[in-house]
Amino acid sequence: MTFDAIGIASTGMTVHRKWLDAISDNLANINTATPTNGPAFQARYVEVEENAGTQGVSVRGAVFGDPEGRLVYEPSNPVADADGYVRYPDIDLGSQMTSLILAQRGYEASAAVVDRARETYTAALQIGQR
Amino acid sequence: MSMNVADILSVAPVQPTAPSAPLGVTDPATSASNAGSFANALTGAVDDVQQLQDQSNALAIQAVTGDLNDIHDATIAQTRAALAVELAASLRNRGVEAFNEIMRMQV
Repeated sequence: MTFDAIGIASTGMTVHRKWLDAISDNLANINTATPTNGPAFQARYVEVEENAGTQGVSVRGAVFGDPEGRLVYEPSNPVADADGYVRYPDIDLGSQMTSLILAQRGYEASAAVVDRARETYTAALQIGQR
Repeated sequence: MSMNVADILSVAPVQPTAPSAPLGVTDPATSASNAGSFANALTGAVDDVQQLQDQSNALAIQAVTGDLNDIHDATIAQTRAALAVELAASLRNRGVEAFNEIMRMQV
């Protein structure tokens, strides 16, 4: 379809939705403590690439954060090791919240493109009607 | 007014008329192909509208059954289907308008 602003905006919305999903996962697990003999929760980051031609954008895959996490001394934690340490994921709440805003605004921007494109095409259909 | 026999005999007998091309049509072959392409375009447009409607319906069903991954997929499919219907209706209206205009012509 030649006039595919709506389709292109749709790919942008899908990408931002997946980014939102990844951030949601990261924030949900930000306080997930794991035993030191296993990996910490690995933050999810979406890897994005442009589509060939003018076909918008798509998610190439997921990149995972550091499985080391950060060691925290918490002897009272049930999963603490003999020395009293547990692993927490190495996720920065501030940067995740910033990404959350970016993802939300990006999604809304693409939604606005859909609306504007619809209005534009409707205006084209009105040509010569009055 | 007088008329003699010789004048009457000199009149050539009426010839059968050869079938002539309809008025205004210079080349029936191109006209037929033009009509065909317009009909094809119209049929193609209707098929496209049908396809977009089917897609929109399928996504609406996914939305109510909980199988939908992206909300915007459903709403965008609806928007596209609505736009396609509007476009088809608009073209149809213009075509009918033009036809009526021709039908109102005094002959």
